[in-house]
Amino acid sequence: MPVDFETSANEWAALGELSRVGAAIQLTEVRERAEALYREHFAFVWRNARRLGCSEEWVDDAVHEVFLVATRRLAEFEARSSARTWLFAITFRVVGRMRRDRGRRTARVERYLAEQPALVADAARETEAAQYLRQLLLKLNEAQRVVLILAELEGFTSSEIAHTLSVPAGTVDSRLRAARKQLARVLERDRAKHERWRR
Amino acid sequence: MNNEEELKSLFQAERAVRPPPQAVEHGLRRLSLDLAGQVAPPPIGMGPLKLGVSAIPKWLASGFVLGLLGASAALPPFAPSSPAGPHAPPAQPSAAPPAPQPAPVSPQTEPEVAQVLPKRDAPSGALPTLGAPAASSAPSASFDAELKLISFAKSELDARRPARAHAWLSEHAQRFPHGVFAVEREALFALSACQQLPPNVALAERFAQQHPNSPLSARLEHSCALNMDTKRLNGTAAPGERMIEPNAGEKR
Repeated sequence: MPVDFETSANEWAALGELSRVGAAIQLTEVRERAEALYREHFAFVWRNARRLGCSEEWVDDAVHEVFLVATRRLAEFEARSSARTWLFAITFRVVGRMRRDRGRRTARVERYLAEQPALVADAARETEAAQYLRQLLLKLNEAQRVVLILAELEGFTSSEIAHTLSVPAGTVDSRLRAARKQLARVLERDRAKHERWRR
Repeated sequence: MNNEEELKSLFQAERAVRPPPQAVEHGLRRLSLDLAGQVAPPPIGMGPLKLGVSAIPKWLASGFVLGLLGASAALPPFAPSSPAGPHAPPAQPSAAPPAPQPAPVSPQTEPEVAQVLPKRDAPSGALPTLGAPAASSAPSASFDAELKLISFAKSELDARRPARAHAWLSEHAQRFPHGVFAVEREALFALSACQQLPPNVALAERFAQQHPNSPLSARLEHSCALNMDTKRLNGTAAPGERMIEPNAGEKR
C-alpha cells in the first residue's frame, strides 16, 4: 500500500507548528510565572539574604541567583509547600554557597565587622538597629540563625519551620529557645562593652 | 531596657526594613535578560540534542549520524549480489513524489538554525519546509541546521515513515547540496528507499559502489542485505530480482 505522502507532509507540518506554538506558550508561561514570583517575593528573598549574611555589596547578586534557580525549578515546585518556604530554602543554599565562594580576605573583613560592638547610639534609629540585629544574627550558629529568622522575623509557625528544615517541631522550639538565650548573652556582653567605652 | 525588650525592638526594626523601591524593576530586568538566554524554547523535537550541538565537534556529530544509521540497521552478514550493477540509476521511492533536484545554494545563504521549522501553510503536497532562508555566515548555524535535518530524517526512519524521511532528506539536499552531511544524507536516502513499499535497494547498491570504504556503506548494505536474504530464504525471489518482502526490511 503506497504511502500517502501529501497527507503525511501536512500532518507533519501541523505537528511541527503545534510543537512550536506549544514551546512558545510554555516559555511565555514560565516568564509570566517567574515575574509574578519575583514581584511577590523579592522583598522576602532580599531581606532574608541579608539576614543570612549577605552584605550590601553582593545581596543583589544573591537575590538574582535565587530567582534564577527558582525559575529553572518552577516546574518542580508543586505547591506542596508555600512559595516562601521554598524560596527560603533556595536562599539559604545560595547564600551559603556564595559565602563559601567568597575569598578568605572578604570573609575576614566580614568576621571583623561582625565581631565589632555595634555603635548603636540610639536604638530608636531604625536602620542602625536593624544593622545591629543582622550583626547579632551572624553570631548565632547557622541552625539557630535560620530558626530565629523564620520565627521572629518572618512569623513562620513551628510546624512550617519544621517542614522547611525537615526537622521535628520539637527541635525547632529548642533551637529557638537556644537562639534567644544566645542573643540575650551577646546583647549583655555588648552592652557591657558599650558602657566601658562610654566611661 | 532589659534584654527581652531590646531584642523586641531590634526585631521590630529589622522587620521594618524594605528593599529600595527601584530594586524590584532593576532585578527583574536583569532576570529577564538572563532568562532570555537560558530558557529559550527548544526547536521541534530537538531539545536534548540542541544542548550538545554547539559543543560537539563535527567529527563527533558525524559519528553520531553514523551511529544512528547503524542503530536502525539489522545486522546479518552482508551478501553483495547486485545484478543492478554499479552504475544503475538511482531509484526514487515509489510512493513519494520525485525528490527535488538540489538547488545551487551557497553556504553563505543557508538558513539560520531557528528557521528549521515546518510551515503550516505550506502548499498541499509540498515538502516540509525550513522557512525562508536568511543570510547567515555563521558556519555553526548551517552546521546545526544540517544536523537537525539529518536527525529529523533519521527519526522518521526510526518510526518507519520513509516518505517523511525522504522529504527531510530532499530538503537537506536542496539547501545543503555539498554540506558536511551530504554522504550521510545519501546513505539515509538509500535506507529510506529500502523501507519504501515496495522496497528498493538500488540506492543502497549505488552508495556501496560509490563509497566502498565507508562504514556507512557496510552498515547500509547490512540493512538492505537483510531484505534480500530474507527474500531468498523465502524462495520467492527470481534470479537477479531486487524486490523484497514488504515487511522484511522493517526488522531491526
